[in-house]
Amino acid sequence: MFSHFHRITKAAVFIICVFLAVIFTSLAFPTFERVHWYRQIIMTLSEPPQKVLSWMGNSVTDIWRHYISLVDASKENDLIKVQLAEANRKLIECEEIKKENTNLHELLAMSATLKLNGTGAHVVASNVLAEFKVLTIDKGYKDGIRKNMVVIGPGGIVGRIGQVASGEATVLLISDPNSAVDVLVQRSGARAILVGTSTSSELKPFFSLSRLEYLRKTSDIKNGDVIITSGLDKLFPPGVPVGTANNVELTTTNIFKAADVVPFVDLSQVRDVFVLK
Amino acid sequence: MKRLLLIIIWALFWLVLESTWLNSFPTNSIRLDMVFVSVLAIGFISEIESGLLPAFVMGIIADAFSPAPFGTLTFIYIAAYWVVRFATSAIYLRSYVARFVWTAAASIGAIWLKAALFALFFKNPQFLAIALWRFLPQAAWNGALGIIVIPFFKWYISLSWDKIFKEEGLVLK
Repeated sequence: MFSHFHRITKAAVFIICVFLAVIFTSLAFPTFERVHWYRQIIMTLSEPPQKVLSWMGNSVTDIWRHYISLVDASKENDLIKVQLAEANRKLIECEEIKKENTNLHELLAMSATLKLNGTGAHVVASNVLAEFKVLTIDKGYKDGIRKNMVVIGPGGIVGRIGQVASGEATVLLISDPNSAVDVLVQRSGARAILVGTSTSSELKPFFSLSRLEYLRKTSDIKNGDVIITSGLDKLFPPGVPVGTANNVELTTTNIFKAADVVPFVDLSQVRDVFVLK
Repeated sequence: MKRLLLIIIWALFWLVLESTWLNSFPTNSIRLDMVFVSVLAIGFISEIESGLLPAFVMGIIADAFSPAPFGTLTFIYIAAYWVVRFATSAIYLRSYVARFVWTAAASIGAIWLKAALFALFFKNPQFLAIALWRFLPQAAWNGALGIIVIPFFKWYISLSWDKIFKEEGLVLK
């Protein structure tokens, strides 16, 4: 009896010692990269049944989720489609707002530089006749808009106010045949008249040009020169950017020089403008 | 009266589109001018007396949308209407050829007449220069439009509530 008890005690002590040895070993190498051998054994042994059980569990769940429990899936799908469409719409709206915000920032910065007050307006329509270059804005007489007020866009001059209705007004663009602005070449100070129609690139789509005329033959002007308003016509304030000179040439009469002007504001695409008061 | 109402709706619809979404279609200088082509369509399909009033009304509506002096387009549209009336009664051409040729010819006349009037009103010869480089492509474009638009416009102004709402194949005893 005693010897039997003694054998059990010895076995228990042996097991406890092995167990403690294992614990101490694992504590002694906490940063060992691979798992210890005893854990490796357990993991190796437990892996097959785990896989089987997991596969069975997943299969049952899959069958339940994809074949049995589909009561609201169609409705949910429709809802998600609607939400996706709404999210896409909001994204487009955000892009538009961002663009508008950038334009308005530019307009405000420009009016601050020119030390002039004014009011912002949106372009609501364009002219239906190809002969004229006219826009309609959503501000009119009741908003303080008056004939001949100067209109600027993001980057430069757009034109001046033409006819004024109660809630809207037309803007005569600088590319209109009836437009004439007294301008200067910023670099040299050479003076000229900016008229509406350019003879060269009118048929190019989405491309509005103006033309510099009455530049003296000796005027210092070259391609790429920046053109600004002179203020001498007593209509447009001085120093407003207009565009850049291109295709500088002598006129057929050999008395004056002429040049195309590419406006800083894309007149065919402008959507937000600032009317100076 | 119903026909005139349909024509007014048609003119307003196209002028609103042309002043917004279709403003640069097909280019900045060659424009979609559905109202003008429709006036010519009336010249093709109506008797002289019944077509004059619609042409006049469309001219007035177009004038309201245009920055040109009021009445200019009305005058030009009525002149173009008379040209088409005269041409189609004097010279016979096959239908689609006639539609192209007379629409293009009337467009050329209208563009130059407009240019001359604007040059005179604004004392600005630039309008003649503009007409010089755009009259051919615009006339060709209008002519091509005429081939399609004229038959469609003919169908459109013949619409009635019965045609729109009556079920096809329904026979009333």
